[in-house]
Formats: sequence, C-alpha cells, structure tokens
Amino acid sequence: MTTQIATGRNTFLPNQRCLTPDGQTLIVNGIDAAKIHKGQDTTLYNAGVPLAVNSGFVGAWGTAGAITGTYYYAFRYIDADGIPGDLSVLQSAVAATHSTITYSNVPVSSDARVAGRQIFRSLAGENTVLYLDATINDNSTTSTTSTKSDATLATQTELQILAPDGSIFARRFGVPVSWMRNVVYHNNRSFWFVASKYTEGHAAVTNGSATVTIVGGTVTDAMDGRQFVIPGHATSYTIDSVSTGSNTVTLSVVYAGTTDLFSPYSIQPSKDEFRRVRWSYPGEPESCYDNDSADLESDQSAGEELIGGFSFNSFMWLLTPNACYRWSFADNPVAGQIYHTEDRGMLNPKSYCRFENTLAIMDRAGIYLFNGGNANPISNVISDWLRDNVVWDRQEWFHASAYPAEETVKFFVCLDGSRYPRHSVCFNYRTLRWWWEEYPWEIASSATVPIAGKREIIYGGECDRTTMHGRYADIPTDDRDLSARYAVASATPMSCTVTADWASESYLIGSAIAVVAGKGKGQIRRIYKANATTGRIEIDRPWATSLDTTSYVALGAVHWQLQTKVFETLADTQQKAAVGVYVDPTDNAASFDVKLYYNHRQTAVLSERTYDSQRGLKVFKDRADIECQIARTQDNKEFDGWHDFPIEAGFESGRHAKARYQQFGVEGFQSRDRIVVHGIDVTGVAG
Amino acid sequence: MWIGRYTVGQSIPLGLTSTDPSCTPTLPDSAPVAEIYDNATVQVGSDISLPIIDKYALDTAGTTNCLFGREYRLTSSFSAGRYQIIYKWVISGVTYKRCAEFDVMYATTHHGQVIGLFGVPRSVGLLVHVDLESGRIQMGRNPH
Repeated sequence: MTTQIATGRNTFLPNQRCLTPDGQTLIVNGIDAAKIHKGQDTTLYNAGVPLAVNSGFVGAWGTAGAITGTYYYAFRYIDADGIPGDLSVLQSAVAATHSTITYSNVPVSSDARVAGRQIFRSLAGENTVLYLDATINDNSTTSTTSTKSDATLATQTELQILAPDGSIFARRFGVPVSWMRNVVYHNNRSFWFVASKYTEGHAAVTNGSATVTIVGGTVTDAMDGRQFVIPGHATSYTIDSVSTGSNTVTLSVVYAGTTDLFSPYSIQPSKDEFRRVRWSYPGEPESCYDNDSADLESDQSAGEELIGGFSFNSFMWLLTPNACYRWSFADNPVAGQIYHTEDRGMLNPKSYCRFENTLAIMDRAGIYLFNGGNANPISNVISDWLRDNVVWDRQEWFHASAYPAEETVKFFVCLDGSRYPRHSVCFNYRTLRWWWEEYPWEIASSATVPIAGKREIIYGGECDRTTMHGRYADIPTDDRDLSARYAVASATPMSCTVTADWASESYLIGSAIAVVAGKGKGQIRRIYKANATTGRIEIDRPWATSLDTTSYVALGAVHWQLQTKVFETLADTQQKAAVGVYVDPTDNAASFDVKLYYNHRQTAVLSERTYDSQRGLKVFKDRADIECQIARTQDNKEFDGWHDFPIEAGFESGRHAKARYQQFGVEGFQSRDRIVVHGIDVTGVAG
Repeated sequence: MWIGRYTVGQSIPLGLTSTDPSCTPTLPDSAPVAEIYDNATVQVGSDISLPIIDKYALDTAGTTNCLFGREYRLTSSFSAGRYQIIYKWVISGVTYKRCAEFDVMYATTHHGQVIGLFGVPRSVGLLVHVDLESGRIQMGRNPH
C-alpha cells in the first residue's frame, strides 16, 4: 500500500535525494523548488522557510507607560518544528513613555509550511541584537501586542544580527536555490550543486517580443529569474515572469534575435552556477546563505561543468564528466582546498554505486572503481563493446546499484532506442566477470535498500511497478505458481490460447511470455491480457513467426545466454570435437539450447540433419539449436545433469574439419525453476 | 497506420514529418498538433503540440529536418479500446492532416514508469519513495 505525498513534479530530470542526520529527506530535481520530507508526513514541503517581507508590517507604540527609546523590530516565519526563515528588514519605532507596542499587518505566508511568525525587538537604542518579543502560533493572525520592558525583553531568546566575523547571522536561513539538482550531506552541512538546464521541446521566439512560448515542455514557477538561452545566440535573457497556464515565459527585455518558431533553447541559471557548490549552515541543512558558495576554478575543471559528487571516506568529492576533485576542509568549506585527483568523471549524479567501501562509477570512458585513492579502470576488457553498443543520448537516465548478496554491481544503460534503460552491464567484483542483461521492460530506477538485515536491490518498472531482485512478487501463491510451460492450443498474430491455471490476469499483465519450444521458438512478447477462463493471452506486438500446436510458451520467462570465448580447432584428429554442459536438473519442464559458431561468424551453424538422442537431446535440420531437456525426470528416467554432443558426428559433417575457430553459446528461458549451469566442456579445441 | 498496443500509463510515440502536397519536408507555420479521439469520436484530452526533433539535422538533399514528435503518456482519460490520432499542420495557411491508430489495453495504474526509488529509514521501518512519470511521488512501506 502506497501513499501519495506529492504531485506535479517535473520529470525532465530525475529527483536526487539525501538524508539528513535528523532523518529528513531533501529532494531536488533542478527544475522545481527543492523539497523536504519529514518523518512519515503525507506531504512534502518546500525546503527552507521563506524570507519574511515587511509588506505593510508595522509596529507602533501607544498607551502611557515607562518605556522610552528607539526600538528596532522585524519578523520571520517559522514552521511547525520551529525552524525559522530569514528575518525581514529592520524597521524602527520610537517609544516616548509608552507601555505597549502593537504589531499590525503581520504578513501571512502563502507557503503551506509556515505555521507561525516570530517578532523580534531590540533593546532601546541598539540594533545589533534582537530579542523574541512576540510569537504568533498560526499563519493567519495579523496583529499582536507586547508590553515587555527592556529588562524582561533581555531575558528572551536572543538573535544576533551579525555573526562575530561580520557575516549576517540573522539571514543565514536562506531557502536553498531551486536550480541545483544534486544535494549531498557531508560534515554537518548540506551541499547543493550540479546546475540544471531545461531544454525540453522547443521555443517559439519572435524578434521584438518578450514573450516566449515553450512547445513540448512545461514551465514552472521556479524558472522565474533564470536565464533564457538560445544556442548560438550571444545574448542570454533574464526571465522576468512565468505563466504556467499559457506555458510561456516573459523576458526582462524583448528578444533581439531572429524570429524562429522552432528554436532549441535552454532555461538555466547564470553560467557561474555550473561550477558552483553551495552549502548550508552547520547543523541546519535547509539554511543556505547566498554567499556560502565556492566555485571550481576554470583552470581546474578545464571549463567542464559539475555533473555529480558524493561524500566518501571523510572527503567531499566533486566530479565533472572527465575529472574528479577532492574537497578537503575541517570546519568551514570556504577555508578548504579543492584538488584535482583523477582524470575520470561520471555520466550523471546517479551513475555510481557503493560496495565494500569502494565506489563503482561510470563515465564515457567506461566503468572504474574508486576507493578514495586511485581510479581503477575495470571495463577496459569491454570498452569496445561499450563504445559500440551503449546509446549515450539517454545517459541522463542511466543508473547503478550494487547487489552485495551476489557480489555484483549493475549499471543500467540503454542499448537500443528505449527512453529508459532496458539493459544492464553487470560486473561480479569477486570473480571479475562481466555480462549484460536485457529486460522485457524498461527499468528507469533502482536502489539498494536494507530489508530484513540484508541489502537488496529494488527496481522501478512500468505501470508503477516496483520489483525486488531474486524474489517472487508479493501476490497470492496460487497466482505465483504458474506451470513451467504451456502447450499452445491455438494462436493468432496477436495472441495465443493455452489451458489457464491462473486465477487473476492482473498479476500477469506486463509480464513476459516466451516461446520456449516448437514453432516460433525464441520469441518474447509482453502480456497485455490473460483471460483466466478462456486462457487467451493477448500480446503487445505480433508474433514474427506464427505459433502452432507444436509451440510451448512460458509466462514470466527470463531469457538467459552464455557465450564461451573463441577456441582454435585442434588438428589432432584423435581428439573428437564435442561439447558438454553440466546443469542442475530442474523439478519442472525446462530446456536450454547449445549453439555453435565458426570462424568468428555472428550466425550459428545450422544442422544438416534431424536427430533425437532419446536422452533428452535433439537437433533439427536447418536449425542452429541443439535442444537439451533438463527436467529431472525424462521418459521415466532420471536426468543426471550432463548433456554432451559429438559435434562432428552428430551435428554436421565435413564443415567442422574446415573450421579453424569455434565458439559456443548456451541459452534458454528460465521460468518455474532456476537454471544453474555449472560448466561447459569443450574437447577437440585449444586455447 | 496502426502504431501498436499500449496500456494506460505507457507513452505512445507521436510524430510526423511535415510535408507539402508534393511530400517535400517543409517547415510549417507553427508547431503541428495531434488530436486523439476514441471510437465514439470524442476527443480525449486537449490538443497536443509537437516539438521539433533535432532541428539542425539535414537530409541527403540538404533540407532542414522537419520531424516533429514527442512521447505522450496515456493518462486515466484513456480506457481500453481503439483510438485515432489526427495530426494537423499548417503550411502557408493551408491545413494538412494525417492519421494513425492505436489500441489501449487494461492496466492497473496510469501513473507510468517508476523513475526514482529511494529508501528512507524511519522508526517504523524502511519506507521507499517512489517517483512516477506522472510527476507523483509515493511513499510505501516494504511489504517484506
């Protein structure tokens, strides 16, 4: 059961989050205002309490008494937890033997987070320290009074105007800026960096007009005050106002360039912000004084913009696309030093994960390990493959997670034209092996979270579906225990009919259906309807090869594939060429295919004959698959987990002797039972 | 042209190349618009403006790319059934149209892809923030 806590967030860029020591969650995306989630609240609030603006607020002395002098006063907003915002500008009121100061027109905030107002007043003639004079415990009352003498006032909560070093203390509670899309908590402060560019759709600009219409994108109130930039145009314009209703922005001056109804554009902060890091007051993660910032010097960063960063091994690390910097400081970040440490960077703020005090990070050069010392480039063995296969256009949505139980890190990337990653590049950091995985649906997010004392991976999928690695879905047992495979009774181009053994179709919708045997073998589709009465299953795309009654399908099947390296054929004819596979026998029907590739070809060798070993192994004329059944019980006999196949004699003749190089593939579909392959034996080869 | 089956919450690809009567790619007077109708010819939702894609890409003849399109997420306004898309664009005051069709299948939610996950430890246990394509953020508790 889930609870909605926010709506209307812009999804052009993913949200980033960090936890604060008091258990609150800061949420940023660089487009909307930064948010904070407190405890188990069912709503999000704007990060930071808003600045108090006088707007008619006035204090006036009256009623005879003993108070005389010039008094300074101001107010600020507070939230339900007493967290304050910045103080309003000081005003003064003169008392001449009065007793009561009346505060009227106390502004009410439009921010739902505001739960009250605090009014501060100085002692007579002072303006460097204020004291809490009155508290209004709501966001609606607009007046209050105070009769506190100086002696009483001096015992109240004190608020210094200036800090000992001369910085403004009473206005350190600034609201975090909205254009930074990464927030990290380090050394008792929150750090805000990685400025965002909003470029969705195109802009219609007209020479001489200050109104710009955004087409295919969505303007937000937080864009007010940012820059409107057209690539190649020398001038950048300040956005004076935003109209979310008409999806337009109004520039501070008219557009001086050429009229273009289909112009690329960017809404972004000023250029300086792209190498800037802002931080909060210590212990106050939402209090960001505007001057508390530092820039990555251009000679350090070669002009590159910040793209991500993290707190790791006692240091703050800042990364650009091609470089890593260590920020070392004791207490005040401004007194620290930023050192260039590595010529490796990252793709986006989420393209890294952590395991065993090591980070695995992905940049355009590949994947490397980082322990706070050196960058260890581990993906050199697959760099050609990454370069040729990864679709970098969508790198903004790549993400990574670690799965300690399998000692694996997974980098979710796009290898085809999908919007979000549908593949992952996986690395086992114990065996140092690489592989890639393909999923039936896009996985746009992942996270490693503690569940029942173990760190598990959860994945974000389509249709608001969250799944957990290696676990059954949280659905009734009857709907989970499907048959290992179903015989197809009939089929159309967009469906097939089987004997249904499920109670409800809702758990099957969106799942994969694979043809695991018979005509059409190897095809994978998505289930869009699965009638529990008729057994008719509707799919997302037509079958490329139609099915018939020889076909078998598996629901929720997962395709797997292994590929050996390339071997050289031995000239020694005493060594007969053969391939064998060791697997765990399964309790239910299952199979895998072995395929053979000659001389670096991409297409597998086709059999010249049909053959049935009567031991659960078959080959088919003009097909590449050597089909091996691995159910424990086959033909009333027990399968021992070992299939071997004499290539030269059993598969085809003559051609094998001429093949200098051989490579083997093992693949199949996992459904009811887990498929475990222990090894592949190849004889008659070298290397 | 039938563009496929989709469930509520998924995004359909809307797109066209704006052409003149001789099928030559030509920039329109303004951004093309897509209208979606159900089988009862009732328009679902409001007109959808299509932004230009990769404007400065040129074809082999050196013509400016006139490809417009976007992903459009199927909201709760869509129920199961067949829908028609009418693309409209105007060149020199003349309106041109093209159509396409797609089917919507049943789905349990219209909020789309989970685009963000974050574990939030709380005193009652692990909560998970779930960011959805619709702009919604949900908070759930680990069922395990």
